[in-house]
Amino acid sequence: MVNTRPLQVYDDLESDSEEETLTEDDEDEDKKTTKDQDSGDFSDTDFLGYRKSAVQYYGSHTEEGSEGHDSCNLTRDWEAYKQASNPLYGEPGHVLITETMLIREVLWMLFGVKDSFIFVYTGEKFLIRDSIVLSHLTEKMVDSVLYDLTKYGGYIQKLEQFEQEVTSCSYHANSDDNIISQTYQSFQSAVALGFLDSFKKEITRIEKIIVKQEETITLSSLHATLKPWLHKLDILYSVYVKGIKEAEWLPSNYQKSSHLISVLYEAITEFDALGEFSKDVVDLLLPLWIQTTKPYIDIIDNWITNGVLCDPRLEFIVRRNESVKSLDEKFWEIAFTIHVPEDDPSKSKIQDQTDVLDDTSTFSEFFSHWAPQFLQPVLVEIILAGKSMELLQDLGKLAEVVGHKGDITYKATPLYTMFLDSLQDMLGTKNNTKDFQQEKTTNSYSLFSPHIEQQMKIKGIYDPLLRINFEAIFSACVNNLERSSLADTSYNDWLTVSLVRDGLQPIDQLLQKCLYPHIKHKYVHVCSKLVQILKEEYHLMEYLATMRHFFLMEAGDTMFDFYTQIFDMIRLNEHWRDASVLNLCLHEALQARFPEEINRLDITVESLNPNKEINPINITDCVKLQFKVPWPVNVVINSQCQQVYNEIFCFLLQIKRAKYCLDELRFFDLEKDNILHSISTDDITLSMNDGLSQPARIHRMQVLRMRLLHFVNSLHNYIMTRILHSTGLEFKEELQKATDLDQIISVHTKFVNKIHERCLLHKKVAFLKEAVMRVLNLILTFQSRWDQGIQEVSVKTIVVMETEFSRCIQFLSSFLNNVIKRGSFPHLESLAFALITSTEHVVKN
Amino acid sequence: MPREIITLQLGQCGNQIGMEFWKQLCSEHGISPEGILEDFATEGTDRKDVFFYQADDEHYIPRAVLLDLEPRVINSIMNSPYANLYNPENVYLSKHGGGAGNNWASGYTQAEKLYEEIFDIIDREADGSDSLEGFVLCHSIAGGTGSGMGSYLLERLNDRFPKKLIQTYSVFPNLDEISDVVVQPYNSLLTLKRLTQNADCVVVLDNTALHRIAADRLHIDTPSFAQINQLVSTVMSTSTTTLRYPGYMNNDLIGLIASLIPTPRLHYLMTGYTPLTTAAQVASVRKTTVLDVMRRLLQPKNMMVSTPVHRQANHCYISILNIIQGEVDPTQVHKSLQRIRERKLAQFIPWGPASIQVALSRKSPYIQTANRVSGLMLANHTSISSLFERTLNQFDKLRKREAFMDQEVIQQLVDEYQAATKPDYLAWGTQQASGSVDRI
Repeated sequence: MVNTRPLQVYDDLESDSEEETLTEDDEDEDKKTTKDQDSGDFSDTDFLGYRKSAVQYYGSHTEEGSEGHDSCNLTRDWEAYKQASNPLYGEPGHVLITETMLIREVLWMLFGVKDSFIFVYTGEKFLIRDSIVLSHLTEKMVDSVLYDLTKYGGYIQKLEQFEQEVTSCSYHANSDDNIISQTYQSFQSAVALGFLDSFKKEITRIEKIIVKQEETITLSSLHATLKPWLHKLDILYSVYVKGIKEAEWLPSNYQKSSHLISVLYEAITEFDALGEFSKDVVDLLLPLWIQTTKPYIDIIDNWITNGVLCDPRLEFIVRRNESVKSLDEKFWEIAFTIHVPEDDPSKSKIQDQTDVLDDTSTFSEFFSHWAPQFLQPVLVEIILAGKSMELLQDLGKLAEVVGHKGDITYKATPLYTMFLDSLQDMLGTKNNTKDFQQEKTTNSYSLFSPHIEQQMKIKGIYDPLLRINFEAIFSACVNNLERSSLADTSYNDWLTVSLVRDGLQPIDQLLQKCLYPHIKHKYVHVCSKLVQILKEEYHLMEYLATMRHFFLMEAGDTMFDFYTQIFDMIRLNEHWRDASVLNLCLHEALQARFPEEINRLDITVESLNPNKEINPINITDCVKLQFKVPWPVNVVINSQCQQVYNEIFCFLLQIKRAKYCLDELRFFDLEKDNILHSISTDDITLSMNDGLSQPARIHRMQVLRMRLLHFVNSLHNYIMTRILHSTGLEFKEELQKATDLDQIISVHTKFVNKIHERCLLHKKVAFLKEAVMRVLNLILTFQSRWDQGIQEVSVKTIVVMETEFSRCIQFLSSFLNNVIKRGSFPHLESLAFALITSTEHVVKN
Repeated sequence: MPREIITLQLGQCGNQIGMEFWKQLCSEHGISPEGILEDFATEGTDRKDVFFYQADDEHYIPRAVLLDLEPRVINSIMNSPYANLYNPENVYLSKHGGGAGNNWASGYTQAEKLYEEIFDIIDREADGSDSLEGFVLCHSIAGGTGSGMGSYLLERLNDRFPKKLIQTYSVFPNLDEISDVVVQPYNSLLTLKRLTQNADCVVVLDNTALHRIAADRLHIDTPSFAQINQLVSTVMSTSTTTLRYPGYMNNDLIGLIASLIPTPRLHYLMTGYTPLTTAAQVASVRKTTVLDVMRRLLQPKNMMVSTPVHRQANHCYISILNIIQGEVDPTQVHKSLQRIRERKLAQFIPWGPASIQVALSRKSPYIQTANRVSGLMLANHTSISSLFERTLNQFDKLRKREAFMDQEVIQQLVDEYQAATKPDYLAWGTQQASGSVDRI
């Protein structure tokens, strides 16, 4: 189409002058930014001059020019026809504009100008002014073309608006509410630098062509030229809507950030799955994603490399719980809170789990919802490494993991850089095989232009040497600029991440391969160091051994010395329930083999609950061992664990007491003649005892003693060897294997719980314990009867004891027999066996 | 606060096995013959204080009392490298040195006369310990000093330390050989009575069986006293190993033997030990497992008591204690126990629980043994009564017509052991109501 625009005198109208200047300002601004790259032959003055001389078509009235070309009269002819055919047709007031004007307006709109003549921005989208008429196109035709373009204009507006929000917020960062997260900021800058800038440059380029008026550009050709750009814009916008708009309702930044990163990531994997067809989309989104994750990765990096959880915008999934002091034994469990959504119905459950982070499998499951998707497989490692770093810092051992040996100035390579480097390595090696010739040609491109960089990328050539040069140049540049502004650094990063992929590998795997090894490496480094320090300098193993020695009575002789003193005192009815007496006993016992533990181990005496019925066996329950575990070992051996240990200790004490009482029975005590009983009363007792003579009763007592002994020995043996010894061996083995503190904690907790359960202390087997306790109680009753002498023991009492014992043991053995037949508790087998053999003779007879 | 044990060595035999016992303990604890702790043993976690105490100059001194009426054996000890080990005040030799002439009565009456001097020593030892667990008596029942003096001491110890445990290691005479001591059955019977009534636990060491084991198992045709005593000292040291190498449990002697003894008189224990090797033998080729050891222990040929196989043999175990030494996983023990019970490898009493106890113990780190696992069995078996019957028969031959009180006691013992093989043992006391009254 020949450019035959009607020229019109510049009609200065008050109302429109503002609009004009605004547009001009925008233009000027843009020109300044693009000036450096602008190699066109248009100078400023020329351009402005052109603008001045442009036709003012936006006045209230337009004059229809006379056209030479037939097609130019289409509208006029159409109008004339309509007027003629329809007598009621009123000529609408319309403004006739040329296509070039329209194109320029479209370009401005796409540039982000809100106020223009043709397009009215409603705040949501652009509308086309009704009265626009082109001389050679029908209204419908114009509408259909413009509709599409206005949509994109709207997108641009939205993105610009978002940019505005982000930049304005970053200036007023102090305001508490609604702080834009760093992730958003970097997303915004990535969008701006990665797409919008080059898009705008493209538009400027087109506009310059138009201004030159040397080529013909129509609406449809413009549409075709812009199509790939618009497609990208479409995708960007959809990402924006999904990632940011749809997440607006989310209350906090960590959710928003995580949502955005995940949406981007999903989009990339989705498009990547489409293969070659969407290569350019992935090429667009991938750098965008990499750029967006930078703050997130930096937070992680700072945390696991330097031990500082620096998260000013609260966008990280993990938060330091300020109320927890680092010297707290609960530190490991609650110092860091994982964000969980407030409105989650399973919140209470989740919080319970946060309290006991013992099981790593559920651990990773339950908070996965709000961790960025790509990080989920390594989240556990990240958190563990982070926590370990914090602990190391508190221990004052940070230097051992952070620094390089002897080198104070050593600074670790940032994780993000490592990530990019390995990404480049992965991609770069593939491209080395490409034709050398082509590489040479790419070398001739200007190194500075990101546009050219992109061009190079489009052609599918990648040159690692070029990359190196780029980096050298830009790092020099950045050093000069002293990394002053965020835009500069991100620009730098932006350049380094423009990458080419061969498309052979799924992108998500590729990314994981590039990122995870670095995180895992750090995790292994940090965690193993921490474990090593805990083991070597803080004697973790020794403390664990101490717990087993005393609470689980592995140091049999020492504990034997201790408890036999108490049992003797109880038997002699001496006053023993006194902390100082008991402590004296304990420390005396410790003196021989564990003099160093005397200061750490103490005994407290709990006051008895007066409401509870106290059986003889329960009187030792008030004795509690206290072991002072220093920080940081108490992270592993916390007070909760000690309580469980104490329960086991208490149970062991009961068994030991029963065994000791039976062991200490002497035959002559039973047979001794009671002086108070004269010969004369003998007949009475004999009649009372249904004619069963004294020797016969003695004999029955002796046999009952043997049966009781067998029971208590079996139980004692079972608990001490099958449970404590075997489980202890397993525990030691697993402890050696543990690589991080969390594993140590979970191995230890599992060990304690296992013993607790197997010592019949678990609620599930309470009825078994009940039966056992009744027998133990019976043993104590038996002992006191025995010590009174046979003359005090009637046949009735013996029978009562015998039946009680038989009932308990029958119940236990038949129950255990069923259990082992089912095979559900393999460890109970040996106890079951011992008890079954002890009842066999009863069954036989 | 150890549970100290005082060892009393009486007569030739007692002193001989006692000396072997102390040799064994010294080497297991890394103590030199002079009583000085060897350099390599200073870090040990063993408990030496059960059997030793430390003098002011840190020397380890055994809690042992050596008594004899004739000087030969004690002199040989005093001329051995171990001469300086013992506390010389604890070595008592009768002044005239004439011995007891293999006469129980002579030993008994001489001991009665020496009461003050002997108990001076014993009281001093007892006072020197914090919480005395009891006494271990080593003697033979056939000679004069060991049997006569032993009998007297048993009675007096019971009076003086009524709450303390008395365990004896009693050597029974070899009946395969014709003894030069004519009154041996007398001596045996008289001592058996005291052992029955005054001791808490008697570990029977049958010379007949020891010789048989030496010949069959160790392939020594004419075993010397030293070799036999080696066997005895192995048994003695292993039975106390849980006390000396503290582990999870079994830290006192009474806890070990309480379950072995159902009634006051049935306290005679047989022993078995496997695998048996002599110093000359090189490492055996077989692999020792817990099950293997426990099964072998139940075989009669490994028992250190010879009991004839009866036709109407319904003899059975009353209870068993196995002490297993070495690196053993408790689960293996439980599996082995189960296997033994399932296969009914041992016949148990029909009236009470089938009690097999297993005590695990460490080995001495200072003694190299070829075997990974070794085991000692202490068993209360009713067939031990045949040993007493044998003594009774011999006694009867000797004194056909004249009635003797002590005979009855042993006859009752035989009766009770036989009653214990039957299910109605539970009601045994009723029939025996009159029997127990006439004890002396």
